Amino acid sequence: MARLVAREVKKVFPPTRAGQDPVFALRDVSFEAEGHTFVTLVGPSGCGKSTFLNMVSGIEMPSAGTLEVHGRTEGEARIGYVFQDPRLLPWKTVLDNMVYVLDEGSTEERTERGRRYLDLVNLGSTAGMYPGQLSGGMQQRVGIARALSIEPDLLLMDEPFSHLDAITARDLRVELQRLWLDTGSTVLFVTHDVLEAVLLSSRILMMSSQGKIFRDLAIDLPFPRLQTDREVAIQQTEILELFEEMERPMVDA
Amino acid sequence: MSGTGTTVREDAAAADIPGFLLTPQRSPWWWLASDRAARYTARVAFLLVWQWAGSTFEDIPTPLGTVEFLIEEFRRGEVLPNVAISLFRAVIGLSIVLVLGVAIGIAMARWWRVRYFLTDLILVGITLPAFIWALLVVMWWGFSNIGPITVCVVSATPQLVVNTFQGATATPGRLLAMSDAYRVGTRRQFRWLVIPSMMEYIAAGFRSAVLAGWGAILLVEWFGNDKGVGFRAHFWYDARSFEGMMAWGLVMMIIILTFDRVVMDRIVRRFRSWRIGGQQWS
Repeated sequence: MARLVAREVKKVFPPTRAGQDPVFALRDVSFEAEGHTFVTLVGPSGCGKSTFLNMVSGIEMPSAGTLEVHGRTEGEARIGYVFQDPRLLPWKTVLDNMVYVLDEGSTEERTERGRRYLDLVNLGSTAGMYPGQLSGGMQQRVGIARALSIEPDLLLMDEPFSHLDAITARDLRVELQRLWLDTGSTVLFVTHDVLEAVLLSSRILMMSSQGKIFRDLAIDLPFPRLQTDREVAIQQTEILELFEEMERPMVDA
Repeated sequence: MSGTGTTVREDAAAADIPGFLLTPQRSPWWWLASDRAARYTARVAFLLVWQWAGSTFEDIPTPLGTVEFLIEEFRRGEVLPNVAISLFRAVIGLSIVLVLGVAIGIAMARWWRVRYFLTDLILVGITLPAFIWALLVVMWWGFSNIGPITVCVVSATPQLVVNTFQGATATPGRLLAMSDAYRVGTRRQFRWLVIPSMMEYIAAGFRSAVLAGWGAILLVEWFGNDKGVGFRAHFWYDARSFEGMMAWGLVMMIIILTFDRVVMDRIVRRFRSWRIGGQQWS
């Protein structure tokens, strides 16, 4: 079973000029996530959510503390990453973009796997097209298919719908719930949209603007969820109130 | 059909719109109206001006006289061997330029020590005129293939280095970060991401390198060689034959234009085929 363990993770960005202070992006972030769970880090812009994801993926290193990702099998855990923008190679076809991240098996096997996961997001017919020929929503679905195609132990998603229009984003949230229920992956999702967090997550970690987790909430609503569900709206309001309570002392000060 | 089931023309007639507004109009600038029309107009105009100048001034050969002279050179068996030797030198020289230029450009982008070590040398290469190199190699090596190939390499490589360096530094960091997150191997990153992202820069750099390298080879052949297109042009210069010089100038032009249109254009088009919808980087 896949497991993510973060212990007192800190991230400090050194000053770029003399006389400047260092920037504390994250302070003592600790939590564990295991198995078929959808964990969302939710917090205001600049609170260190994306930095944390980059550290989990290995793109950045923590300044202090430990981060461990244990896979379902021995060896290095497989980590899929869906970015804010699709990050597809524009000069390669959609299928080549899928094959690019696959390293196991023969060329035929990798191609077949790429096609299978494109079919999973209903984009099988676009395999021979270039990313520039697809809409923003379709490109993001390719990004999701690419992340799923490595059959990840842990799937990281960094505000993947924030650049899309409201209708496309709504449809993709529904599709993501279906994919998560089908694949049984561990997902670590980042967003500043509380409604999106409630809609998708089985657990929400609320972050303050100081880069700290101040609340760990379980969301016990049945899947699949819709934006129009009453319980989703109620839960969203409660979380927004918690954010308000958290930020109020600072505003008063 | 318009919204009411009638044709647009019927609607226009009912609204008393004059007929000439509904037929295609020929612009008075039709001969510049498309890229092809503008190109052909320029060629015809150039030939006409050249013919006029040739007929008016004694020291200027006419296009017809130049072509006739070239046919005579063919008959004398001078064109093919001299073109072949110049092309041989160009292929060898430019192949070296391609390998060296790309390797040095990437190395300069990858390692700052290499960048600072080579920056001034590259600047010297760009600023030192090819004719200085040409005279130097004639003094060093006399009549041989080494001189033209060397000058081609030293004159053209810096152009390609500069463009390749720019391409290598412009490789999108977000795509590199994505590749690292997915643990894509260095070799695949290089083949699938780094090289393709630089291809347009390399193609543009190689285009200028070909012009510089070809010009350098012709210079060396002009100053000190007994074979090649440049040598033959110089031969007719010594004989004070304007037609001869112009005929060989035409050969130089035809070779470089053919290469540019047939080879370089196709390469550039191929590497641009993905740019559908104007997208550049994801």
